[in-house]
Amino acid sequence: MGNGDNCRFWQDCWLLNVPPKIAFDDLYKMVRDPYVSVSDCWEGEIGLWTLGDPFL
Amino acid sequence: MSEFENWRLLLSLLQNISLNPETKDSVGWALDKKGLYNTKSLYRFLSNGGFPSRMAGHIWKCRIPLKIKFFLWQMFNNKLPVGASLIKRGWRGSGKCSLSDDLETADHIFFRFRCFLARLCWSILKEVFNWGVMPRSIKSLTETWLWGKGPLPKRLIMFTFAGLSWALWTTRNKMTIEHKFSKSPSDIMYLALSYLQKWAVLLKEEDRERMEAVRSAIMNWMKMFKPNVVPISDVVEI
Repeated sequence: MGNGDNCRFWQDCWLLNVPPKIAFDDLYKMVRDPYVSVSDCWEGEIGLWTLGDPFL
Repeated sequence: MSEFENWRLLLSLLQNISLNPETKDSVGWALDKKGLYNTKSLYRFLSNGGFPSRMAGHIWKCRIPLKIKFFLWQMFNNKLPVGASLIKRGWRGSGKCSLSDDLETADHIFFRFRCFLARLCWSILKEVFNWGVMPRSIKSLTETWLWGKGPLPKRLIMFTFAGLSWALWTTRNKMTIEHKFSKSPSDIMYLALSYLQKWAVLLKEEDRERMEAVRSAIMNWMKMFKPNVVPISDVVEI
């Protein structure tokens, strides 16, 4: 994993052997923007995941 | 699993990961440590759920001619063209062993050859290697014999085993295909010894000496065994 710009959070196999949209299909249904990139979910300055954002 | 549990699982997975703004994302082959594609890792993944087969490792590392490695691999995976397998593929022959009325399976050729053919050889190895009982099938051989604690390292047991099974196989082929029968059951053991001697050049020097000791131990047992007066056709009837 690099800066996360070229990787889709839900569609790509970056976390597990399957895309998160398969592994966490119930969560994926609730996502507001399914095509959000990995870097969109990461707050570099504080070094934290801000996964709340893509959800409703 | 509930959504909430899944949510916590996802967060815990993310916790171990941090992004690096300095580098770009890249795609790599997950089955290989270096991330580079190779057929070996894919083959392992497909055939063995990602784990290398223990038997395959011992076969490929064994210092025997490549042809014999393929033969052993076929044997342990039950892929040899024996009578029973040929019938399964629609062959119209009898599928029987050329010495008996039994259906010819790999286990039959290597362990149950009626008359003493296979059994004599195994009983000699049993004495030489100090085994408790004789192996009865390929399965029992892989499960216990090749891994048992003995005076010889596994690689040399495999080496010896390769010589004997190749001798049994070539003898079987001579009988089944060319209808040539050897005059004495001990011929197989001498044939095996000749293969072992031929292949010994492939061994490391210390192993070569150890195999020489095994060879002479087998020779001593052979001298005690004098079946030369009994032709095979008679022995078969026993």
